[in-house]
This record gives sequence, structure tokens and C-alpha cells, in this order.
Amino acid sequence: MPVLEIKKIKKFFGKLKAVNGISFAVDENEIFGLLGPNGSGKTTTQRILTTLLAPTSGEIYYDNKQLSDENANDIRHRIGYVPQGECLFGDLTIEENLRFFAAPYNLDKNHEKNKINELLERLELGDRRKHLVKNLSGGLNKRASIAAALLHEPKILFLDEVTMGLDPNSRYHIWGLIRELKNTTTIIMTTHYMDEAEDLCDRIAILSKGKIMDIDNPHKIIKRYHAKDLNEVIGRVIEREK
Amino acid sequence: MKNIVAVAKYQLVRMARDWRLMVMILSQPIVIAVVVGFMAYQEPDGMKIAVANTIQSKYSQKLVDELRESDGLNLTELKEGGKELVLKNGYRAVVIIDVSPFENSGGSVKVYSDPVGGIASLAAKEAISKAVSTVARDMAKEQLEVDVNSFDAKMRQNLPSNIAAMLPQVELDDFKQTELSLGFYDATDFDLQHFDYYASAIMVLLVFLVVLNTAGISITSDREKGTFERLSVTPFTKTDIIMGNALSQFVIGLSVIIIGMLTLKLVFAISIGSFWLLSLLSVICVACAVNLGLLISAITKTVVESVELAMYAFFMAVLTCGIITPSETAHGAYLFLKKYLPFSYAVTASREINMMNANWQDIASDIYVLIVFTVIFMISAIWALRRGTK
Repeated sequence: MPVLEIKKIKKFFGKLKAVNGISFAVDENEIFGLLGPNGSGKTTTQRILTTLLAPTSGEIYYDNKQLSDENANDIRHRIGYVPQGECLFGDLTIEENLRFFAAPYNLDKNHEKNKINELLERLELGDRRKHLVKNLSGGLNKRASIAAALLHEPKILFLDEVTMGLDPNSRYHIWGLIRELKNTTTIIMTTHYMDEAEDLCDRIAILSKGKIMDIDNPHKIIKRYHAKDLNEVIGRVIEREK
Repeated sequence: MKNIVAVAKYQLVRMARDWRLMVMILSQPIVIAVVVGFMAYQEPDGMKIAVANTIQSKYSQKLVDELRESDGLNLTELKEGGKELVLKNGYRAVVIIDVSPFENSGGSVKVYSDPVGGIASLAAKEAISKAVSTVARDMAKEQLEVDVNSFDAKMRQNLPSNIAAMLPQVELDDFKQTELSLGFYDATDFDLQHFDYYASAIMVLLVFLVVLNTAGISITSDREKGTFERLSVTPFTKTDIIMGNALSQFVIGLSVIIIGMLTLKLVFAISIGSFWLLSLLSVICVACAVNLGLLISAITKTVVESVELAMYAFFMAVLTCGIITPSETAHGAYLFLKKYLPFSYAVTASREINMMNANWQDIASDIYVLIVFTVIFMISAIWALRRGTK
């Protein structure tokens, strides 16, 4: 049974058709990638799925329950989100940020404390817990953001270009973490790094101009296109759309 | 409630860590109160006043002489003229003596003052009031003296001469209790200075200035940084976010008003009425300003927009609170605007407490209006807040 299913989602901004009738389903513990050039509708789709934007039309189901204004807050209890840019408060320490983001989930005090300690250790942030977020490097900042998104043990984790701008070391560290999370969490990620998608994703959807051009396992897609890698596939898709 | 406290607590911690912002916020009440205080704390001198003395009678001339002797006035006597003289040639006020005969009690004097004359207009009005009062008292006394002598003479005429001779002379002093006056009364129990008139308004405006800006950018700055987007994917409700921010901004606003009031009290010794009423009013003013600021933050998309709108609201506060102009005689459109904005109610209540030693009944209606505005601003802010950044 899919944990997330979307049917014919459209999102128009005036005349711009940012998302134009896409449908797909994501299974439990799957890593699902949304790929495509800039402006293809990846981020808009993710923003719709994370309740930040209401679709112009279409339906979204989380565990077979349709997302609506009334149950949006229930859905927010089940999802975690790591946006592309800065998402923690720079003037708070890592630990303060985690406590703040844990507040709306009504976790038991001890559970909250243990969870924060566990995540800080797991993400190798234990010795930086008292550091202000604004003083952290990009990689550490991203790890802290992931920790904040995992506090309430979400069923689905959304990652928006989570390794963007990071050095190779930090990227590999986060890749390892995503692989680890796969055992307990469904992950929906957007990325511009094709090697990342090839390596991590069980399935990918290639988007262009708000439509899904292909959806399958990345290796199967590469084979189908007789391409050497996903970069070539995306290049061909863009070329075809021109 | 737990969520509201969490938002409030961490917002406060964040603000407190930004020491430059805190210095800016907390030094504003001191610096602005001192600067405006020194600007306004003065006894005006050399105010240009025109007197149109069309009657040229004994008492009208006496009034002109009184005005000439008044401190701080620079008098120009004209044979004719009207209120159009105000604003021309820099006259702060024009005094028109045009009721004839001025010798009779009941004569009147019209004073047209510069509507944006500020302290100078107030001082001019006060000096003119004193002069008119003096002349009116002399006029009434003299009239009474005439009446007393006439009464005495008539009474003696109707009596046999030997009895009339036995009667003591009726003295003016016996009639003192009936002495007339024109009724210029001080409305206050205090020895108020001109600055007291402004101090209350300055405090209210100070709160609006600081809080409108800090509350106004509180959500938009998080939007621009991207942190608001992250916050929007959590189960924090819009009410949690607005009320949590309101609570933290409220602490800042209250600090500002306390520091400002202490500065005005310690440096300029302004008169302060009921401490508890003033505290109540301060709390409500801060709440009103905070919620207006949050409404601004909820409906704007960028920090620049928020600052612009906050300044817009602040200048509306300055213009409609009644600090610049005595607004009772202003254009109807201005009075309409004043009625439907909260600022004048805050300033009026503050002045009544500080200058008139008002009690709860006197300011209750102003307080209720401010509470209604506060609730409207808060509900509107919650309603207008949109999740996400785009």
C-alpha cells in the first residue's frame, strides 16, 4: 500500500503551469527522487506535498487519507521536511533549535531529551550542541536541519536539494545517513546531482515543464534511453521538450 | 499554550542574542525621549501675535495693553483683519476684538490660533487667556462699582434725609461676592508645564515606533531567511505563531515603555497620574501596537515592505494622535480617520491620566476602544498569515 499517492495534481500561477497534472505513488521505505531542470516543477510539487502550497486541482492521499485544510495539521505530524536553504534559527544553538522544533509534537519530556541526544550523536553533532547555528559550516548546518526534521520520527521525510553546495565529504556523510534512514522512513528528495539520484533513489520521476516525462528505477531508465548516465537522460529530455 | 510559550521563549532568546538590535531597541526610548524632550521642553518667546482692534474703545485698548505686557508675545496691533492673518507673516494667533460695545459685560474676544503651532500656539493661547481674564475682571469690577454707587444714591433719595444720614455708606467690598469673572479655569490640579502636554503622547508614539518595526519584521524576516517555511511544515498553528510572536514582542514593548517613562520622569520630572491606570494603559497600548505590527508582518512579503508599512502606520499614528494639532476643529475627513484609528484613543487616555489625574471612569471608553482594536488586529493577523514563502 503506498504511503503517499497523488493524482492529477495541477498548480498554476496565473498563466504559468508550474505543475500540470502529475500522478505517482510512493511506497513505504522507498527513496523517491524528483529530478528535472530548473523550473520543471520539482520544488512546487514538494511544496504542495508538504502543505506549503495548495494545488489548483488534484488529490493527495497520505496513507489513503485525502489531504485537506481540515487534516493538514495531522499530516504535518507525519512528515519531516528539510528545505533547500537555511531553515534553522541562526541565533539559537543546535540544541535550542531542536527543542524548539520538538515543541509542537507534544513529545514526553524524557523522550524528547533522549531523542535529541540520540540524533545529536547519530549525526555527529554532540560536541557542537551548544554552538549557534549561524556559526556552523554548510555541512553541519544541513545535518542539524536533518536532525530537526527527524525529532518526531516522521513517516515521510522530504529533502529538497539537501546536498546542494556541500563539499564531497559532507555530501557522502549525508548520503550515508539517507541510506540509514531508508530502513525506517520513506524519503522523497529533489536533487540536481544525478550521481546522487542514481546511487540513492529506488525510483525517480523526471519532470519537465510541470509534467512527468518518465518514472522508474534510475538504472532501468538509463538502460531504456541507452544512455551512459542520468545526466545524459535529463539532457535528452530537455532537448526533446524544446 | 505550550506551543505559544515555545515560540515566545525562543523568539525572545533570539532577539536577546542579537545585542546590536537590543541596544538599538532599548536605547531608543532614552535617546528619543531626551531629544524630543529638549526640543519640546521650552518656554516659547517672541511669538508673533496680531490684534485686530476694530473698536478702539477703552477696554479693547486695555486688552491690547495687557497683551503687550504679556511675557513671550511679540504683538502687532492692526486696525482690521480676520483669521486669514494666521499663517500669513508668521503670526501664531490673531486676536479679533469685534463685539461692540466692549464696555458691557458679555463682550467677547475671538482668538484664532495656528493649528500647527504646537507649543507656541499653546503658550500664545495661555497668554491671551490671561490678558482677557484680567480685562474682564476689571471691566466687571468697574461696572459693579457703578451699580453700587447708583444703588446707594437711589436708596438715599427715597428716605427722609435724617434717616438717610444715619445710614452707613454702602461699600464695594460688601458686594465682592458677586464679582463677575469670565471663567477661564485651569483644567488640571497640577502645575503643568507645556512639556507635560507632549510627554504622554511621546511615550505612546515611542511604543508604536519601536514595536511596529520589531513586530512588523518578525515574520517577514523569517520568511526571507527561509526559517518560516520550515516552521510552516510543523504542527504549529497560525494562532501559535502569531500569539507566540505577540508575547515575545510584548515583553520588548513593555520594556520600552517602562524605560521611556522612567527617563521622562527622572530627567524632565513629568507629572504622572495614577500609576495603576498608567500601567494598564501601557499594557494595552503595547498589546495594540504589537498586534498591529504582527498584522503588518502577516500581510507583507519582504522586510522592506514591512518596514515601509510600519513607518506608514507610525506616521499615521503621529498625524492622528493629536500631538501636532488640536484636532477638534479639523476637517471632517481627518476627524473620521482619527476616530477609526487607535492612536488618538491611546494618547487621549494617557493625557487624561497624566495631566487630569483621571480615574477609571474617565478613561474606560478609550481603553475599551483600544482593546477592540487589539483584538481586531490579532484576529486579522492570524487570518492573514500565510504559510510558506511564495
